[in-house]
Amino acid sequence: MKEYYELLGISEKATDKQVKDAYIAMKNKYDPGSYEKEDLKKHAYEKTEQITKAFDEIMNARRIDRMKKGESVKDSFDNNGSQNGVVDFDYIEELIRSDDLDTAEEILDGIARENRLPRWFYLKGLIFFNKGWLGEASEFFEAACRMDPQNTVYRQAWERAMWQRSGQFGNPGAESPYGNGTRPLVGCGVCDICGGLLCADCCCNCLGGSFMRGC
Amino acid sequence: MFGYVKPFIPELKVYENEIYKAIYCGLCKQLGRSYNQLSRLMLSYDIVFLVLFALGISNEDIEFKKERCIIHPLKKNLCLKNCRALENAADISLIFSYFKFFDNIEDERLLKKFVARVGLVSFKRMYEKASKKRADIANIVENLMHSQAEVEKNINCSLDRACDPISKCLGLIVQTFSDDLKTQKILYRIGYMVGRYIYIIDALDDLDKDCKTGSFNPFLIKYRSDGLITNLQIDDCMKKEIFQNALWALNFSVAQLAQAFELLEFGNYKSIVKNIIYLGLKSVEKKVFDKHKQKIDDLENINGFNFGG
Repeated sequence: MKEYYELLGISEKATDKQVKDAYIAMKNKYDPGSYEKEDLKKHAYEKTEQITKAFDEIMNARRIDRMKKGESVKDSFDNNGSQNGVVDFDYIEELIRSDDLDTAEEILDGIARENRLPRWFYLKGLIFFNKGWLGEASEFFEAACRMDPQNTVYRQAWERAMWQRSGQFGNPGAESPYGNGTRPLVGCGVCDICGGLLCADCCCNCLGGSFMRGC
Repeated sequence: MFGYVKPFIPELKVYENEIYKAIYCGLCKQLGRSYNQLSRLMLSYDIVFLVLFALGISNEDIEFKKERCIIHPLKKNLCLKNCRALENAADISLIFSYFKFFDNIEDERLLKKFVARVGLVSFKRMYEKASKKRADIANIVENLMHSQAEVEKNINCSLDRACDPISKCLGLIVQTFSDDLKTQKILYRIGYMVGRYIYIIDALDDLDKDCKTGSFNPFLIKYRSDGLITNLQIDDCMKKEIFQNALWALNFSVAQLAQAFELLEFGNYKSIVKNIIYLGLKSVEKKVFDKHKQKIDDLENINGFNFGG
């Protein structure tokens, strides 16, 4: 266990928040995407894997410790060190954004049932979505949306899912770059009407009277 | 792979269609060159899609020439000359077909089983050659077979879980087309969604057959919980539910595929790939749905089916 702490460059007495911060800082530092050279990139990959493993091990050990002591799991993810038992969803979301889905899912699943707020369902959906499990993702987005209909983030996610499920592309309201096949080949939009009138005006002065002066 | 990923020809420009056909011919000839004449039977549209993709990512210089073909001996057709993308795709195609035979021996009956056994024997040597050359791909596909078998044992398997192995496998294969890490991530997502699409549409296509034979099908698993494996009778109501779910899953996958594709810096033949993604996949969808259409009257009422007006 000690070598894991050494790897993250922190002492064993560090608080959960310090472990998290150290982990995120190290992960950013070794982000393989920022290395151009192939062998360096590989090295960065290995390093990132080690760091993630160290973090997982430390957090798991701490969770098990707490469970043994009879504290509930939720306390381990206190928000910015406050002791009010709020689950730190921001941190989980950050993990998801940095593509560490397994850790994020593990933490989410460790949250007690009574603490599963709408955001829990949204994040769970987000994990499934990133994994490519679109069916489950839709269900969780819908659940989050049902529990908290006022929240625009949940609603956007759910509406986008509905939109794309219904055979459209992109965001709700967006047009398919290719047309979805339902549009008639010859349209009669505003531009067509203007164009037609201009043509008629130029050719034969609209049957006598020019409707555009000066044309 | 089964030939579901192809363009919607009426919307292709004439020269695009020529290029598409030339790649198809080129791949066929490449299979003959890399392996033997028998392997040319394993040609499929899905692999042509992979070639298009590899060409777009690598932007390698390619040439076309006019050649004759066994099927059209009198006419010379445009044909893509030997290039890296083709060689690559031929290897992938061969590895896939070899494992497909394995799959068929398990799933199919009588004639097809026999064909699969013969195929397995005659492809063995070619497979060894391919797997030596592309050990990474052979590894990925072998893993797919194992995890697919694992997933199909699970009686409470969700559609997402059932799709996962093949989607992952295609994701990893498409990922090998680029060395850039960011591009790789996008490519993985694209491959994943293509795999998902192929799996779902194939499962839907085989629905009636699997009802009779009792083969694994992610859409039927829910109705088989009472131990009724073969000769499952599905009524219109069940069928409608299945089709609604399938349509949602297909549409969502294609939309996600398109979204990832738009992020990609894609060189040659972008328009053809765009045609496949935005129109081709949908038209195949429509064909499969039409096949079942006579049997369900109110298929039109299913939400999200809006191809072709």
